[in-house]
Amino acid sequence: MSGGMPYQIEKGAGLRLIENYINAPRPEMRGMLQVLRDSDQADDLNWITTGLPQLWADRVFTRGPLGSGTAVLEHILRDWFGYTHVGSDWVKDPSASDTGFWIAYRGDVDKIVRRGLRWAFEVALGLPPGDDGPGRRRPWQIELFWKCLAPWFETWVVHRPIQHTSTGLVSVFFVTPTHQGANIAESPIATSPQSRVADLANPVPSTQDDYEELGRPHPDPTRPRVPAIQRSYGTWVVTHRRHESSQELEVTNNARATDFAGVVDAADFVDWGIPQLSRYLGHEDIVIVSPSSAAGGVKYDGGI
Amino acid sequence: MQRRTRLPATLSPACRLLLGPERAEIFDRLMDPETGNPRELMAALRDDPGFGQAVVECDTVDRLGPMFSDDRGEWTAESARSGALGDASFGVAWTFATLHDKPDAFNHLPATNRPVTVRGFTILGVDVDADSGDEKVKVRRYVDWAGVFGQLGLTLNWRVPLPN
Repeated sequence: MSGGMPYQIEKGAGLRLIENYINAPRPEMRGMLQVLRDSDQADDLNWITTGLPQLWADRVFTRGPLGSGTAVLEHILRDWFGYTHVGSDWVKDPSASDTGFWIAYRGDVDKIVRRGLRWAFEVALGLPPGDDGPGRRRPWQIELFWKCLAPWFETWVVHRPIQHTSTGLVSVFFVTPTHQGANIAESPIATSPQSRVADLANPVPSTQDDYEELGRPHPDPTRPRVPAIQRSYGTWVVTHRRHESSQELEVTNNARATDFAGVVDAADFVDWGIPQLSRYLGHEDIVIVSPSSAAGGVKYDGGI
Repeated sequence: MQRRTRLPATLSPACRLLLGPERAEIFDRLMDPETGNPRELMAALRDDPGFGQAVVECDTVDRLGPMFSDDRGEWTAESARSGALGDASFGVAWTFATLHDKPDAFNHLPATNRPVTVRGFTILGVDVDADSGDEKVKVRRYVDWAGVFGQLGLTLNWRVPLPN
């Protein structure tokens, strides 16, 4: 929710912070669930604008790219949910062709997020939909992820007990279309010391905390702070060291054909092709990388 | 210089019927790999726009059609936007309406059973073969593939690589 992501899956400081607030003691979680249910009933935004007042006032946001919790909240309302600030109200433009800053997608994102979170809370608290029974004595933990890209918006609520314990885990995935100006890193390997670079609107992979390429020395000799196996928190991506959008697959336009030796010619009558655009090629070895928190990963201790 | 085409176009029975016996004979003769004459064929197409449109229809329906359906679909020339181009070329603006009911043919997609209208502009001209130096009829097909993809329900990922 930082406004961009260089990888395909993100947790990052924003979602970690929200996790910290929603994984509260049972009475507080029941209270947050009630706000979500009330907003579902009224179809309003109270669950996010006033349901977590301490969250948006958290000073951690001053260290983020948007500078304040209020700015992050407004970013979510405007760019994720498609609302516009008119006077003192947030309203949806019914004539908007796309919702928020998503590309080629229109839908009720706020309702998808709200319903998903409500169900995640109900699962974590052990409550059937709308039920006010006692539920679980100890709520399960909720974790949050953002997955981009997909053709439309979905919230996934995935849960399981943790065997040999009395608790469980509820994983919430926000699966989103791409957004305006979105980039993607073709390599998980970070070279930049900062995720924010001056001439780019979106973050890049960075060597900030707690970036690590498993089995390789960190550019900073004082890192990693703990061995990988001792991390309490980790998000590891396993993939090729780099990828290349290849031109080996001809972008057939039937107007100009190439033999890849530099000879460009027009097509014969017999040459009709279907364009397949480009093909991603995975290059070099398979690496295991923990993105930095600033680039969408997590710090080893779950810190913000 | 001997003028011949490297890859002769062979007319399907349906196209032979479409062109009619007289135009089919001209096409066969002038496209013959040994004795043909691409420039003469282009002159014939420019002089007889209906002939040129029929050749483009054959090219489109014979090759593009089976990507979607075994039905031949409905091909239409936009005559007001078609005709002689430059010194020795001929162009046709066209639409091809069909149904995507054939599985595994269009980039191995399952049949979507969606109606599809393909729009394109085809230029027939004479090019010099890069290998042999021979002249031959070449076809430039400017097809609205993005429109086709959209009608089939395909989308782009819209995430461009970070600059290196």
